[in-house]
Amino acid sequence: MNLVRAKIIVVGIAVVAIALVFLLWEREAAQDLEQGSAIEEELGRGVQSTVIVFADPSASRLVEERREIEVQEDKAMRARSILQELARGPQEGGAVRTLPAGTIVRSVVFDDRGGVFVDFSRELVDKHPGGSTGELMTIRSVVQTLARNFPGVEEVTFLVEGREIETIAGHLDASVPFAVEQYR
Amino acid sequence: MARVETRREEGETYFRFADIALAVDGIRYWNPNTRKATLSVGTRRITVAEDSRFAVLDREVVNLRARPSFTSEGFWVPVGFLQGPLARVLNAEVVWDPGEAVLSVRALRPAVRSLDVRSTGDGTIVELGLTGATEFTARSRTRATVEVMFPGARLPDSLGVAGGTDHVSDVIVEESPDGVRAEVAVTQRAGSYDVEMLSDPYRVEVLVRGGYEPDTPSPRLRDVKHLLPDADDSIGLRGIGIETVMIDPGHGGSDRGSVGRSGLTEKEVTLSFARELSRELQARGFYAFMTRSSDSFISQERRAEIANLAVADVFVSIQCGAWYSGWASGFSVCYYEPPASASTARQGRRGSGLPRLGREAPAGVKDDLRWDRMQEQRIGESRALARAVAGSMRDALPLRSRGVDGRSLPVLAGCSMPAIQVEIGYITNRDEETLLTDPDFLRDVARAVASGVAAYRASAEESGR
Repeated sequence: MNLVRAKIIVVGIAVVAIALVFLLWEREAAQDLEQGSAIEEELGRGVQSTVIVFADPSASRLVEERREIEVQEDKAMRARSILQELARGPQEGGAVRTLPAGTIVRSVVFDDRGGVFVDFSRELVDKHPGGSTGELMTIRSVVQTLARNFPGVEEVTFLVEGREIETIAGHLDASVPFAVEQYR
Repeated sequence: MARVETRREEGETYFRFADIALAVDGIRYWNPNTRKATLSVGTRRITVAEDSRFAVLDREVVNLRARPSFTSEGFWVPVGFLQGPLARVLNAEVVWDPGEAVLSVRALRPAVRSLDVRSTGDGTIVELGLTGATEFTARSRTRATVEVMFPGARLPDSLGVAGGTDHVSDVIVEESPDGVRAEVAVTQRAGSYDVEMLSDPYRVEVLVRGGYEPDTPSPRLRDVKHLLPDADDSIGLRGIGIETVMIDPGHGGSDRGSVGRSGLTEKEVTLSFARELSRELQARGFYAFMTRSSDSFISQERRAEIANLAVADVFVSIQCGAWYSGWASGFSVCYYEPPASASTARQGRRGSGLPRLGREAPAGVKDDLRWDRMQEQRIGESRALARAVAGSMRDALPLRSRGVDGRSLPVLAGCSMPAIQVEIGYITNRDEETLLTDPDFLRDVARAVASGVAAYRASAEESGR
């Protein structure tokens, strides 16, 4: 009986994963579907530990928070979940959010040269409080969250609704990738 | 129409990139480092990467449904490249006849398909929706009308206007043998107009503004022409002393900047502070100018351009800090630091490898003459200026010092003189927001900044720059 139930759950998870992959494909965002490994691989259950990098209340330094998320084999999906946690904001005291409330991470794409493309929803630019320091902290938190969880990441490009942006709130140049080295 | 060679692989037809470029009279580039190929037709660009199903058309990502590949015979793109991005760039239907192995292009005449008139903060926008990129001309033959012509375009449906606004009384759109003509009748209250083509969706916007409002140089800027040395010496001779400061109050017009808890806007603060700073600099013997002297919008590029045209010796951009929490406070001073991303360095130019319309220098222009790289020559001086100003502010003000750092700030990128950005306090911090509305406080900050600029002048002149 238990075995049957387990099988049903595994099949259910597989169906949901396939549906998700299909949805993303339909959106035609620059999704790295070539890998497509999520479909074939068995999805393990459980959680994994990740590091989410927020900022302190005075916008002076980054603050790390450990958080457990559901295991995702697919790298891009995992990155998306991690950044979605970042968008959700901190749970512990001593840290503040770095992405505007309501920001959705639409997709994440890794290229094979250490580059990552993160596609955010409009809230990133529409609801950012502004200020050059504020933008800097937002960029650093995203870049370092990716770098801490995915060794080998060298630069991160921000997109909004699938498009390149000039800037987040009018101060820093967001039309080029942010180097992990520069946004420490 | 062109006869082209193709290659079949996994049920997909591939075309040689070079053949297509030739057939559409485009220019092709191949970047061996990023393994990306770009086809440029007119002002538009399509970039494809080896082994990626996605192409970038101008700035938009387009799915090709198959991956381009590289063989010893060249770079090959799938048929999706022709039917998707290429067809859009050519504004045409691209037909591939496999029987005859012939590629043909059927031009679609662009159409004017919609008309919308709406009021905005700045005036009235008349928006003409288009089916694709098309040429247009705009002129104002009389005081009462602005005429926009789309040569060769068609008008499938007659377009009516919903009703006049303060600045526009009527719009007539009609088809003629030459194309489509739109006549915008303006009212007495109209002052100036701008016509601009935008994409996604393609449209031409006619912005009719109210009574004339200078969006750039304060009146005194027009008097500085005499400061320009003889044309031949315009680059070499600047620097006989530091005498002209261009103050750039951040934000303005439709761009409010950050907003404090009480509703105080950054654009107001930067402007009132800039006025104080202008007075304080003049009191120290500088010529001081402002990129804006009223509540109007100016682009980042234009701000640098104004400073360059005025041959300013120092550029000071004014901003406020802002943060999610009310705890953040203090002032900071920044200088320009170019983006350090590897792909930027690899390509030796601005850009992420995605094409950037209107920002590419024409072929043959040296990188060190590129407007958006001017500041790279001045980073050392800008850092010294930033330190002088931050030092002076730290000594004189009761604010927390957040220090000096380099940031890739586009507003500074194009400045050909030492340039800094000063964040004069956090508008999201309750106490500092109150201070930022206090004229006495703004004067104190302005004094500190002006003294910093004067200290920089003294040290630069001593060391002979």
